[in-house]
Amino acid sequence: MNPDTERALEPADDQATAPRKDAARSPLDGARGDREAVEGPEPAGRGPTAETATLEFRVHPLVPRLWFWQSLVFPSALGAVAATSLLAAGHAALGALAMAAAGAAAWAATRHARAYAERLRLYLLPDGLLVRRGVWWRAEIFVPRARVQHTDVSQGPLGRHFGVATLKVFTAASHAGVISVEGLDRTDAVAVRDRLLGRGDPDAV
Amino acid sequence: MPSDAAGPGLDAPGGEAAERRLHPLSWLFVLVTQLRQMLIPLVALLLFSRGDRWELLGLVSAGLIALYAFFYSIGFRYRLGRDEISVREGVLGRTERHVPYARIQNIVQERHVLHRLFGVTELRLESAGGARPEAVMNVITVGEAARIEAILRGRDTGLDAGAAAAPGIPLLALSPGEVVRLGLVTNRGLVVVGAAFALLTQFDLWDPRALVRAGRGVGTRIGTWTPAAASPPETAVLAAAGVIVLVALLKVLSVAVAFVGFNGFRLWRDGERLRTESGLLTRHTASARRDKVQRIRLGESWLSRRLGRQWLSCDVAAGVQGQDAAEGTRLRWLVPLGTPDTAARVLAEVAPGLDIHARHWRRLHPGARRRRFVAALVPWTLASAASAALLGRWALLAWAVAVSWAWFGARGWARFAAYAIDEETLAVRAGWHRREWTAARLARGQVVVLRESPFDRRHGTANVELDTAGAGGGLRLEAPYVPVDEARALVARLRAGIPAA
Repeated sequence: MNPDTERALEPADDQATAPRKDAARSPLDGARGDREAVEGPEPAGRGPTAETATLEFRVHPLVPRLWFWQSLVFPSALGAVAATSLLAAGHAALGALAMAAAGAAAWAATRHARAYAERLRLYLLPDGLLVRRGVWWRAEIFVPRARVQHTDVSQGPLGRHFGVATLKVFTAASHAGVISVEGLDRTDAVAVRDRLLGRGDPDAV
Repeated sequence: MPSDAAGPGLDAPGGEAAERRLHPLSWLFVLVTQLRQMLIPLVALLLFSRGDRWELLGLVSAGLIALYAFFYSIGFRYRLGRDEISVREGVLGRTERHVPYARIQNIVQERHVLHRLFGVTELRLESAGGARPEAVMNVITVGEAARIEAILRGRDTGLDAGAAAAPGIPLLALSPGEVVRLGLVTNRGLVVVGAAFALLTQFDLWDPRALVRAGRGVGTRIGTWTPAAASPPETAVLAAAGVIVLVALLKVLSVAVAFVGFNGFRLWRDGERLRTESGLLTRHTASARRDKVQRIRLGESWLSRRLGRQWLSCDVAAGVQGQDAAEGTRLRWLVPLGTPDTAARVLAEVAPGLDIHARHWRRLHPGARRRRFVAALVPWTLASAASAALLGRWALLAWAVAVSWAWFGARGWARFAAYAIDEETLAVRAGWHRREWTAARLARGQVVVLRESPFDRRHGTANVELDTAGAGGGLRLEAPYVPVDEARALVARLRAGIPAA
C-alpha cells in the first residue's frame, strides 16, 4: 500500500496530511454542542430513537462541484468523439444531433450528480447508522450497530487530494451486505467508523 | 488409522493427544477432486485432438496432479483438541490451522459413488461467512466422520457427546412417489438441456442449420408442410403437438433429475441440530443448528396446488457461498415436496413461532394492481412493437395475449400479496400462479431498507425490506406498495425488533 494512503487512513489525531483542516465542520471534533441533537431523521414519536441525539453528516462541501465535473467528463467526451467522427464522415446533421444529445446527457448527468450530492445524508444514531440517498429512486438504509461486521474508509487519488473519502459498512445481509457512502469528509468518515466500532468514545452504545 | 480408534468422543480432558491421518485411499479422492475441473477439457482433449502433443501435455499434467494428490493426502494431519480442531496440510508449504469448535457452524458430508464404494466420506467444517470451508477432510471413514460430528455436536450444544450418536426417526422421509411429483412440478430438466447445449456448442458438435434441416425433414414427412406455405391452423396444430412432446420430454427429464438430487431425502431433528440427507448417486448430508435458520420459505405452483403439494425451504447463515453452494451441500430444503400439513408440521418443529398461515395479513396499497399491470404492460408493448417487423399482423395477437396475461397476473398478484408483522416476526406473501410465502424473526434482521421510486412518491407509497443473512433467492422479505406512513411505522417496528449488541 502507498504509505501516503496508509497515513491518510489512520484514525490519527493529526490532520497535517489532510489538506482541509476544517475540524469545526465535524460534529464529533471540538464543536460538538452545535450539531448534537439535530432533529432525528424520523418524525418525532415514530422511531424508538426519536428523542435521543442524532449526529447528521453531509458530503464534503467540495463534493457537489467535484461530482459535477466528474459527471460532465464522460458524456462530453463521448459526444465529442461521436460528433467529430460523424462530421468527418460528412453527416453534418447527424453530427449536430449527436452533439445536442451529448449536451442533454451532460446536463442531466450534472444535475443528477449535484442533486445526489446535496441530498445525501448520513445519520449516526444511538442504535446504528442511517443513510438517506437518491434523487429519483430514494432509499433509507438502516444498519443496526450490532450488525456491523467491519468497515472500510478508502480514498482514491482525487479523494486524497481533496480530503474526500468513501465509507463502506459491511454486514451479513444478503442484498444490502455492503453499504457504501461516497463523498464524505475524511474526518467524518473516520469518526463514523470509530463510533460504529465503539472506539474513541467510551460512552458510545 | 482413524478407523482403529474406538470410543465415543473425548477421552482426555485436554482432547486427543494423537494426530490422525486420512484414509489410506485419500489420494484417489484428492486426485478426483483436483481433476474434476479439468475432466471435461481432458476428455475433450483425448477424444477430439488430432495431434499427439496435446495428449502428452494432458497426461503429464494429470501425472503431476496425481503426485500432488499422493503427497497431500499422506501429509494431512488433524487433531481434535479440547476447544479446537487443528489441521496441518500442504505439500511444499505446510500450513497449520486451528479452528475453535465454537466457530464451526455447519458440517457437510459429501459422498459420491466412489465414496460409497469404499465406505468413506468427505467432511467439510464451515464457519459463518468465509469464502471456503475451515477444514476439509478428503476422505475419512464414515465411522470417523460420525465420531467427529458427535464430538462437535456435543461441543456446540453443550449436550453430552454420547447422546447425539443415534439420529432416531426422521421428521420427514420423502417417498419415491413424492420425488416423481417433485419432478413433475419443477422444471429442473431445463438445467440438463442447457448444459447439453452448452457442451455441444463448446465443441462445435452441432450446427444450428442441422436442426433446421431436421425440422424440414420431419415437416415434409408429416405432409406437405413447409414453413412458408403452411396454413395457420395446420401450423397451430403442429406447434401445439410439438410443444406437448417437448413438455413431456422435459418433465421426464425433470423427474430423473429430481431422483438424482432428492431420492431418499430425509430430515432429522436431533435436539437443536437439523440434518438432511439426500441423493441417488451422490449422497449429500448437511446439518445446521436450528437457531441458525434465518428465514423460512414456503411455495406452491399452479401444478403443485392441483396435486395438493407445497415445498418448504430455509436460509441458513452458515455455509460457503459461491461455487460450493450447489444443491444439497447446504441445509436448504426442509420439505422438497409434501402436503400442506406436512409442511406445517415440519415448520413447527424447525422454527416454532414462524407459523406462516395464522397471521393477520395486511393488504398492500389499492393502487398496486394497476401499477403492476402498467409495469408489465410497458415491456410487453415494446416487445410486441419490435416483433411486428417479423410477425406482421400476428404481433397484434401476441400483444393482446401478453396484455391479458399481464392483466390477470397483476390482478392475481394484488389479490394475494400481503405482509404481516407481529411482535417477533415479519412475513410476506406474493405471487399469482406460483405463490410464495417467506418469514423471518425480526431479531434476524441485518439491514432495514425503505425505498421510494418516483411512482411510489406519486402514489404516496414505499417499499420496506428486512434484509437477512444467507438469502439464497426467491421472494425477498419486503413489503412493496405500502402507504408511506404505514411504511415508516413498519420501519420503526423492524428497527426496534433488532437486538442491540
